[in-house]
Amino acid sequence: MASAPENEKNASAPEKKTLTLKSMINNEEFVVDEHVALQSVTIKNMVDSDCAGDVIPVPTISGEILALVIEYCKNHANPSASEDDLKKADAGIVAKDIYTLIDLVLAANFLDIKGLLEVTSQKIADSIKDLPHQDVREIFGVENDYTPEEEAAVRAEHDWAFEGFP
Amino acid sequence: MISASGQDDREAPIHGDMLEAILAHVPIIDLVPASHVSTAWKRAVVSSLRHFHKPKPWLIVHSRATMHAYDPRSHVWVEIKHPSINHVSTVRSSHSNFLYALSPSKLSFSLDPLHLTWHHGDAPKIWRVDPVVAAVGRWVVVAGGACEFEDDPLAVEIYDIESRVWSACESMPSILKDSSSSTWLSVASDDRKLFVTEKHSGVTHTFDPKSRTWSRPYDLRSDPSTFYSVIAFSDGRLILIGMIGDVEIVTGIKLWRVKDCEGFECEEIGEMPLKFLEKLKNESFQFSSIGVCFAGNVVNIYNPSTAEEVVVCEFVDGCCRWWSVRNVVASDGRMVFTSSKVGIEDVHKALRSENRRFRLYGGQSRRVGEGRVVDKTHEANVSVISENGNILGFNGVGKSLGETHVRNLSGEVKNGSFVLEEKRFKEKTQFVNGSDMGKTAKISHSEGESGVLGKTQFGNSSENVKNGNFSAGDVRKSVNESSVNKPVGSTGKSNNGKIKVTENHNGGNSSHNRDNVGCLGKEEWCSDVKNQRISSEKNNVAVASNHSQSMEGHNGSFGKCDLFDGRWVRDDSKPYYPPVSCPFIDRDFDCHRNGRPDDGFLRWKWQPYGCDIPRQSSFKGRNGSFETYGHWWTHEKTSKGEDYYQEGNRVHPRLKVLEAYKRALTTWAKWVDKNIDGSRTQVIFRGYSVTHFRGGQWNSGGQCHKETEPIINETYLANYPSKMRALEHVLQQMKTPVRYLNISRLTDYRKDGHPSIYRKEYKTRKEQIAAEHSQDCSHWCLPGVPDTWNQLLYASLLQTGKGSWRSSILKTGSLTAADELGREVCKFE
Repeated sequence: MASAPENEKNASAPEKKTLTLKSMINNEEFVVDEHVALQSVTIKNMVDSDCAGDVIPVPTISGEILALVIEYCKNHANPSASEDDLKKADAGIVAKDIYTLIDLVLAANFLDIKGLLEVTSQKIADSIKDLPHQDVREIFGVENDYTPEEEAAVRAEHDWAFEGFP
Repeated sequence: MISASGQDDREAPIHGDMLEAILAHVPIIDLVPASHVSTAWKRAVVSSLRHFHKPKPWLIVHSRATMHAYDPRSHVWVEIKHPSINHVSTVRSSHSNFLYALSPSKLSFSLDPLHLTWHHGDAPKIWRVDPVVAAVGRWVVVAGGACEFEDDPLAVEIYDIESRVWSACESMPSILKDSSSSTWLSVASDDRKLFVTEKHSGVTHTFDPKSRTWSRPYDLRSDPSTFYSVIAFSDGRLILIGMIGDVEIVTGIKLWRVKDCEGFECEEIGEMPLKFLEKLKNESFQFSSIGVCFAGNVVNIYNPSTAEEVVVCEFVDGCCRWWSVRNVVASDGRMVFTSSKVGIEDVHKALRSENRRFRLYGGQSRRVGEGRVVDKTHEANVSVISENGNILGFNGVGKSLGETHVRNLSGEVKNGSFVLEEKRFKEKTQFVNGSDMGKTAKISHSEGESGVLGKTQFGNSSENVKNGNFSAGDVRKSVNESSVNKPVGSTGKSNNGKIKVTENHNGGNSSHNRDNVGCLGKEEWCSDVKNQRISSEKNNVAVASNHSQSMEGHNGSFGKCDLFDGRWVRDDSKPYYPPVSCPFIDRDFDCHRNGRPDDGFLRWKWQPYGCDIPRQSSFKGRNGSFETYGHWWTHEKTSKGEDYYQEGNRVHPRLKVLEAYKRALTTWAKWVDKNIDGSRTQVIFRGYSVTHFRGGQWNSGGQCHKETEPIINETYLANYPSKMRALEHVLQQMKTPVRYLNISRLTDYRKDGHPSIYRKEYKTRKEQIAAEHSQDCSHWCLPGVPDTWNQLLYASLLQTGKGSWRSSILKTGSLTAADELGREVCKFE
C-alpha cells in the first residue's frame, strides 16, 4: 500500500503521529492522526497498553464503514467545529440505509465511540419506529419465536395501534 | 490483533446491550410493537426501560375530544385517540392524574395513568358548582362549592369507591366560607389525607376521610412575599409552589418541601430560573396565577391563561432540574392537565383492552407547534357542547349546533365559565374583556349571583363595566382573591357597592369619561386596557350624580315614556364611532372591515313615539355590549327538547321549548326575588333580538345579505315572540322591579343590520359567493343596532334610577340561554 511507507516516515516526526487502521474485511488501510483515532476507547486502550503495532487490524468492519467512523472522529477532533456544525455533520454521516447503520452501530460499539454510538442508535431507533415488525425481523436477522397464537394476538394489537391515523 | 465480538450470533448481529442501547432511543409507544418482534426483543425492551432509560411521568393535556401527552423520556408528544366519552359535564382535574366530571346526577372519575377506566357513581346529595374534588385513599372527597342560597356552601361529602356509598362529613372550616371552591383552593392528597390550601393566603387545612374531620389551619407560606400558592404531592412529600412578588410584577416562583406535615415546616428546594419565568410571563401580560401538575418526581408548571409553555422541575437528588416544553395543543380551547407515570404496560394495556391509538405527534420537539388548531370552527363540538351542557345545566348534547353558532357559543361559554386553571383567553385578554368577564363570572359564582353572565359576545366595555360594578359591592372576597383582578380589585372603590353616576353635562368629568369609555381606539384607553389598569372610575357606568339636572334637558314626558314603542327614523348624524375605528369589535361583527360596501344601515336612529332619547356622549361607543341568545331557545338547538333540559336534579325526557323557557324564567325570577334587594339593585332584563333569515334558517341557506334598509311596512314584522310574552308574564309576577329592555320589536325592523356574508373577509369572489349559503342574520354589525340598545339602556337607567341611583348596584339580567336558569347559573365559575 502506498500509504504505509509514508506512515513510517511521519512516525519519526513526533508532532504528527499517525496510526494506520486496516479493515480485515477488505484489507483497506486508513492513515489517521493519532488524536483522531484515539477517540475510540478501544484503540486508545491498545495504544496505552502498547499493544498497537504499526498497523492496527480492525476485524469485522469493512473499509466503507471504517471510512465513516474516521470521518466522524475527524469532525469531532476538530476543536474549531461548532456544535451546530457537528450536528449537521453527524446527520450527514448517519443519513444511510438501515443495513449500513447496523454495521456502523456495531463498529461504533466495537471501537467504543460513545457519540457515534448515540447518534447511530437514535437513527436506528427512528427507523424501527416506522417499521412493521416483520420487516424488523428480516433486517435485524431476528427469528420470530412467538407461538402462532401469541403472534395473532400481537398482530391484532399492533394493527390497532396504527389504524385510524391518517 | 483485536478479536471481534458479536460475530458468533449469525442470526442477530444486534442483541444484548447493543439492542437495549438502541431501544433506549425508542419512545415507549413504539416499544410496544418492538416487543412483538421476538421474545428476545421483548426482554430487551423491558431491560432497556429498567437499566438504560427509565420512563418519566407524562404530562397529559386533555383538550376537547383529544388527549396529547408529552413523554419527557423521549422528548416527544404523543397523540392519543380514544373513544369519545360522553360526559354530561366538563372534565376536570384537581391533582396529579385524577380526572373527574361532576354533574347533578353523576360523578365520574378516572385514576389510572392513561384514563382507560372510568368509575361512575351517583352524584353527591348536595349540588355544587365548583367544589374541591379529590381522591384520598379509597375515597373521593367532594368539598365546598355549593350554592350559598340553597345549601351550606361548605358541605363535605365523601364517596367510598368500594361500597359506592356517599357519606356526609364535617363541613369545611368556616374561614373558607368565601373561598370554598376549586377556583380558590389548591388540592393535594396522599392515601390518608386531603390537603387544601387557599391559593391567595396560603392558609392550609387537612381533612381526614377516616375520622371525617378537618384540622386547624396552618400557614404554609414561609416567604411573606408569596402572593399565590399551590400545593401538590411528589413522591410522598407535600410540595408548595409559590409565586413571589405581586400580580403586576411576578419576581419569582419558588418551591418548598413541607418537611413535616404535622408542623408544616417548609424547606426551600428550588427556584425557577429567570429564563423559564420569562417564558411563562411572555405568553401574555396576564400572569397572576400558576397551574401545576405533579407525578412522581416531576412538577409541571404553567400559566393557566395561555398554557403555551410548560416549565418542568424534575427532582434529581433533592434538587430541581429545570427544563421547559412547548405545549403543542395550546389552542384556545379548554385544557385540563394531568400527569401520570406511564409504563410500557400501561400503553400495552391501552392498546390491548381499549380502543386507544397512539401516534407520535410531529416527531421530535423541533417540530412542535405544527399541530395548532387553525380554525376553531372546525373543532369537534362534542366537548364544547358538553361544556355548554354543564353550564346551561342541561344534560344533553345539542347535536344540531351549527358551526358559527358553536363558535359563538364557545365564546360565550368561555366567558361565562372562566376557570382560572383551565381557560385561555388569548384573544380576549388583549381586550381585557375576557378576563373581565372571567372576573365577573367568578365573582358571580362566589356569591351565587346570577344574571350577569356571559353575554359579552364582542368583549365590549359596557357590559364588563357593569359587571365590574356589580362585582364590587358584594364580592369582597372575589375581588381580593382574584389576583387577576387586582386592577379591578383596586376597584376598591366599588367596594362600596355603588354605581357612581357621572353626568356628562356637568363638564368636569365628561371628557374623562368620553376618553375612557369611548371605543375610538384612543391610545390612552388602549394602553389602559392592556395594562388592566382600568380604575373603577373609568370602569363604572356613567351615572348622573346630578341626573335630575340631566332629566331637565329632555322633554317632560321622558320619565314615563315607553322607550321601546317607536320607529326608526333617518339620522344622518355620525354614528357613535366611525366604522372600523373600534379595535375591540370582534372581527365577525366588524362588517366594514369585512367589506360591507353600504353604510345606510348606520343612518337610522330609534325614535320613541313619546319622547326623545338623550344622546349621551358618555356612552359613546359602548357598543355591542349585549348579546342575545333568545334564539338559542329553539327546538332544533335543544336536541328537540329530548333529554336536554334539567331542572334541579331532574332531566326532562322531553320538554317543549316554550315550556322549558317559562320554567327557566321562573327559576330565575324566584332566585332574583329571593336574593336581590330591589332597593339597592336594579335588575335589567333585555329581551332578545330577532333574526332575519330569508329563504331558510341559518343552517339551510337563509339569507339577508342584500338588505340595505329596515322593514318599513310594519305588517311585515314578525308576530311578537311568544317567548317574550312568557317573559312579560313572569316579570309581572315578580316582587323585584325589573327593568325590561324590550328590544325585540325594534330589532325586528332591522333586517339590514346583520353581518350576513360580511362576517369575515374573503380572498376571492368565489369564496364570497360560497359564503352566501351560510350567513349570519342573527348577530349585528358594529357600529350598528346594538349601539341603540346601549342608548336605550342609558335612557332606561335615567328613567328608573331617579333618586335612588347612588345606592344602587346595576345588574344586567340580559336574556341569554346561559343565565336565566337561576340555580343553574350558579354553576358558572
